[in-house]
Amino acid sequence: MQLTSDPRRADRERRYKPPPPTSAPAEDLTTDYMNILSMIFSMCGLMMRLKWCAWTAIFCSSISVANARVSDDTKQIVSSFMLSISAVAMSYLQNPAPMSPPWSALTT
Amino acid sequence: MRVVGFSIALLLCSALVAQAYEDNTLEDDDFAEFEQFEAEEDEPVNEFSEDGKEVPVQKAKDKDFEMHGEVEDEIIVEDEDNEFEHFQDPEEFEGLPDSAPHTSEQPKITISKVPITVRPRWDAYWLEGILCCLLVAYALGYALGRSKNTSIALNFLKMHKPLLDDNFTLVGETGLDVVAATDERGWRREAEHCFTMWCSGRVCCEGMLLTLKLIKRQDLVHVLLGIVRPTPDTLHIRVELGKDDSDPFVLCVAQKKVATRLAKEMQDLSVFCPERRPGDKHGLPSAMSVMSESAEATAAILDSRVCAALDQYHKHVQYIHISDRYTGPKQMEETAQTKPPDTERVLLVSLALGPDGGGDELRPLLMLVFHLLEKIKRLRLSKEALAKCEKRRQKVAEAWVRGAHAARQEQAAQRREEKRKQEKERILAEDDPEKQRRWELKEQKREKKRKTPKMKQLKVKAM
Repeated sequence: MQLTSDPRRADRERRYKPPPPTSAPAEDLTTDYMNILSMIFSMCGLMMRLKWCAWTAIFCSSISVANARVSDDTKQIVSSFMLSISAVAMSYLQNPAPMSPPWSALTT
Repeated sequence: MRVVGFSIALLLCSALVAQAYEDNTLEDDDFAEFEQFEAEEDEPVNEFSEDGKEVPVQKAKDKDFEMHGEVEDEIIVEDEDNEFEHFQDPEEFEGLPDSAPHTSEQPKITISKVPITVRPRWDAYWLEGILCCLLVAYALGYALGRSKNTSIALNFLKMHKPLLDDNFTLVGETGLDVVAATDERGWRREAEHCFTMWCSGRVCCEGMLLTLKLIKRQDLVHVLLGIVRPTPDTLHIRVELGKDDSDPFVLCVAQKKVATRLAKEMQDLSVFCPERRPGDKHGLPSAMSVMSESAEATAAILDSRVCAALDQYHKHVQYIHISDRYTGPKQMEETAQTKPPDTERVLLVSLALGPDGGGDELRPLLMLVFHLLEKIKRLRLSKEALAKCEKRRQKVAEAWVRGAHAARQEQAAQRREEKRKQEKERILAEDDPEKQRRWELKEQKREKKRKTPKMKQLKVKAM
């Protein structure tokens, strides 16, 4: 499959125009979902003093950071990450006792 | 005046500060418990009993003044510390019996047993340790995955950029967030797993957008999910065709599973290509399906060279979609549209890359894309086929206008109904029964009026 003549045409050069959002393939919403989950878990961790919630929030925000697109709102992602970290810090400042595994409640 | 006011304010402030300091010293005193014992020790000195009765302190003070009232030279300056010092001075109480209860024995200090709070040992935090290790592993996975994806993108450039340069005058972008090997132009990083590159300046098309959608290697969770359900790295090619670059037709060649999904999701395929035919009827591998609007266009596009290429590399080709009415995935029905959707002339190709970003197999597939572009440009449908296609487009446009009109009418009816409901609520909220009755009459009249024309028409027909 060889091409014969030179197909290049400088006069047909067009600037990049992003495709319309309706015709674009389905967007990856992992970042948004993880962001929301992270915020919910952070609030639960802060208000209900649940340490596992705060830790889950950190993991959710990490996934959100890893999947973020360049065009995504960085402020929102960073704020959710900071919120999750503060949830962990606050829960350990309030009660420095170690976290008990979920199965310990079943065994006792 | 201001000076006086300021000085008074300053005085008040200093008094408040002094008071606060006193309070603080009291509060901060760690030995406040022992003050109680000291106070107890002091109490017997303060109590003077005469026949078992308590003598108030004030009396003793008065006496003291009577005795020493004449001695004016000895002025005792009382401050807060030695205010009650004179009670301990035996000369102060000369007339009094020496039976003041003077307790010499030490007060008993009982030290209550406070439970010793043992700080939990570090090994109690094993769960936190595991979580921290997981976080570190995630961060490491992020760094490794990111570098791996970047190297795949760079490898693609190294292998296929010469071919792209031979076909386009403009390849890649420049800027801050650009992944490029040696020269300046290269991939634009959209995410850690997604890179795009715009190529333009070629016959038969306006431009070509390459989107390298790699596995989310930077996300450890996704990598672990990939072990259970593996997904390949993909390269999406979107070629924007010019107005005169193609005849009006829709054609899609896809792998069976993908074809089923596309037929459901894509607006143009579901409207123009309702029939899905197996690939072996068109000389393609049986794993592929063909959805076509025009048999003539299918035969012209799927020539022997294309069939041979697809036969050889069908595992890598997910779909080839040619459309002059591409509008993307179907829109949700809730969003009522006021104008027809914008259509595009495009050639979409999705290629599954081999392990670690693929190798040489991509070159013939890119050549296939360029061959298809030229084929589409050269293709001219016969008059009959063209008329059929145009007629179909017209029908679809009419159906859309009808649908939009019906939707608008429905919306208008809904708005009217809502308005009436609000008015009814407003009338019912009012206390005036006369007004309510009038409104009901008006409503009945309106309903009657709405029904009468139909009756009239019937009457005319009957006559």
